[in-house]
Amino acid sequence: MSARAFVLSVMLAASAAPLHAQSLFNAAGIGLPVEATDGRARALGSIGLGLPGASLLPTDPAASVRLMIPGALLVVQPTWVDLTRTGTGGHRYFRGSRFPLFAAGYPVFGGMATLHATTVLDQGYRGERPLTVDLAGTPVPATDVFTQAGSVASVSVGYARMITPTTSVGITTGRYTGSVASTLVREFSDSASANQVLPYASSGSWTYSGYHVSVGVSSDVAGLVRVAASATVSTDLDATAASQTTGTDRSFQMPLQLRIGASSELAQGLTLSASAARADWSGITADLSAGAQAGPATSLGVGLELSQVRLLGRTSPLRVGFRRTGLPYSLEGDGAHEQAFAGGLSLALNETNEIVLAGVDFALEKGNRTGGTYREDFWRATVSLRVSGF
Amino acid sequence: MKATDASLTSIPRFERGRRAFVALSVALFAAVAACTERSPSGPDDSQLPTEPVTVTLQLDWDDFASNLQVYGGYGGPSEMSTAIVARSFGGMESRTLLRFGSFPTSATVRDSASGSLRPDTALTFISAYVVVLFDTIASTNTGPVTLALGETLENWDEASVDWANAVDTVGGQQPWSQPGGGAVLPITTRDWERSVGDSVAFFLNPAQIARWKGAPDSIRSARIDVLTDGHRLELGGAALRLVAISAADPDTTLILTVATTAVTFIYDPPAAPPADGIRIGGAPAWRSVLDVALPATLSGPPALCAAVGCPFALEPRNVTYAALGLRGRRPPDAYQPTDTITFDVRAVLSRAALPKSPLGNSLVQQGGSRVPPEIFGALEGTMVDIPITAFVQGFLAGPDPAGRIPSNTLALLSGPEPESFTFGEFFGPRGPNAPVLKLILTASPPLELR
Repeated sequence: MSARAFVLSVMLAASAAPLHAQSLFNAAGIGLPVEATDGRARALGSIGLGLPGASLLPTDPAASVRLMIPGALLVVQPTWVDLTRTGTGGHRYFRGSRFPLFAAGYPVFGGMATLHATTVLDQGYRGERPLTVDLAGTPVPATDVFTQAGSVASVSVGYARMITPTTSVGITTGRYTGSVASTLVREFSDSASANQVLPYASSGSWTYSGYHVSVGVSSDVAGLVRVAASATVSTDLDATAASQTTGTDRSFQMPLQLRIGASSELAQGLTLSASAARADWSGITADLSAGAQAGPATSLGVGLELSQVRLLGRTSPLRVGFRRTGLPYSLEGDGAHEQAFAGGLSLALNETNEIVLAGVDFALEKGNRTGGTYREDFWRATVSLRVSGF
Repeated sequence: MKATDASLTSIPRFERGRRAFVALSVALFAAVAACTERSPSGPDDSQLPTEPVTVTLQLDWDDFASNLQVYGGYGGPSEMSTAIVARSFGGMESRTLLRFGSFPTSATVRDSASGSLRPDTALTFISAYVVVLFDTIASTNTGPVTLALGETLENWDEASVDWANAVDTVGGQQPWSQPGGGAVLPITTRDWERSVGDSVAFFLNPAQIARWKGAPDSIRSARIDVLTDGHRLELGGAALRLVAISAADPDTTLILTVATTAVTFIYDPPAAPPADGIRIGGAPAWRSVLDVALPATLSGPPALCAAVGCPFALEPRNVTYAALGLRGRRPPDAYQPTDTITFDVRAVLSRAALPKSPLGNSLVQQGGSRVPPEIFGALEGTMVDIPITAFVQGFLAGPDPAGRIPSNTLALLSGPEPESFTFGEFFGPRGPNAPVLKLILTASPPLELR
């Protein structure tokens, strides 16, 4: 097996791996939105559009055409979280890894065709409730354990092309997919009075479906500023219950998502980038059970890139950034948001004639998510592998 | 675009840095894959769905059961690992029958001249005794009792022998010349007291040794009687031991054991079927069979209705515990248990074929449900639970994927069967001590996406 084939196999296999939850905010609403960006965008605090050069990010449908040659991208993202809640003692630590994005592009018909597999909403979490149950007059300790695993994902295809020497447009269309499985188990203590009492389990699983379309434009203005914008419109997200599920089919209204981003070279080798996104999730409130609230979510990010740094004789840009992201749902009905400082670099593993054929983008974020009395302090690493020219 | 395309044709693919790229890629993914996942979990239960409700129910006999029947005759005393001797114990007599194999014709001995081991066929039997092991807990005597060992004079069939017949097979019934094992050739008597030890040895005289040495197995047969009134003793085993010397090594005494080829016991009178109630155990064993019917929906208790609404359709997963609540009853004194009775519960697979219906797999936990003997004596009337959760769940589940309808008939029996000469009894459906069905149900509202 050639090196290319081996690496591509690893990337494809990893992209099919199960996702692992990374936040208790996954329990809010229909989950925690996942931004399918790579290590470069993460390090720059960007939401993934308007960045210099080419990109295969789904948030910037028009940018892929600038790649010009075939390319692929796989992103892996481990997170370490420390959860606290005001008024309650102690900390909860958890960690997880996920593969939020796989992307590939291939030049056809004078443009670039793309394929994206992304995570849209992360929904996994776990909870326990210790209690005492009266069994025929005998108090017996018991524990309710709730486990939810799964996510909403998306598979999409797109096409982008240059319409002028400085402006490109792109469109992607995709289908929501994925599933979620929930299990509530009551386990009785293995005491003498209850050792023959079997656990009770109630479970359900749903598969997701729905469609979305994204359009985008990217343009170099006066050779000084790269400006990009995109919008995503979706049908309702339908959750179909499996046959043995006690719960019902559900449908959720997905919001229009608007994004804009820009970048400019302030000095040779120093680029400033900024981006923003907004989606009003208020319309989904009526679709949520348990009285959950949803609201508009606005994201802002800014970053700097030193692009002429070289390590070991290869191009290795350094990046720093900051991002504040509004979360559509909170665990307690109040607003919630995430903010993080980020830093990172690129390693060009193989470059020829100033073209990077293989590289790694690494980002490390230190941030927090807060909502009501909940606070999550996290470290999040993002590693993306890029290959091109195959 | 043309210039770019031309430049691409000159790009050497993965010529440089290939090894570094592959190594780094594999290392990164291996590192990520090696991370131990810990799911997010909140500090409290605020993110959990509505709490399930667990309630206990007790159904009266008429609400869940019918057609109680008791069947006897399963297995026989010869299948047990223990035996009984009794005399005027609660009006019951019992004797134990033994049969021994052939005497050994050789033994391996050390040659006194050469010092090597060799088989010796020139054995001289200088003594012999039958050693009997008693269960000191299951035996009822508190003082000394006298036991008698005699040689049976009539051939008997271990599988079918009973008090009246030496052989009781289909078309081959042979009554004893005297009920209770026929006439015997007395060998010896011995006293046994449980406080002294748990075994007794009956020594054979030389004439008896010579008689049994070359006799066929049918002759090498013995009967043990207890001669002291008012006792029931349980035998845990018996063996014929031979004391021999060898011509090759006259200074060494050999203790050889003759195989016990059959052990059984006979008793009189046989236990009469109960007028009512539930009986389990004995040898031959008793089984009790009943039909179970559960309500498809429940309209209470209020806690259940408040949580999930009523009428509530009962599903298998809601039944976290189900047990027959049976109240112990004192059986006839002769069959009063002195040790734990182990209960088994199985589904009757063909009610129409009773009493010979095949039974399903055991529905109780491994080892069975153990009930102490006091329940059938000093603690008469105490309720014990015989768990049948799996049976109730199967009943509620309805037909399996192959369309087979689960049995609604339940058999209560001892495990193993027969386990003991004694049996346990429980009060029947009539009266204040009637069996009940205990249910612990857990239910929750449908699990919905949030």
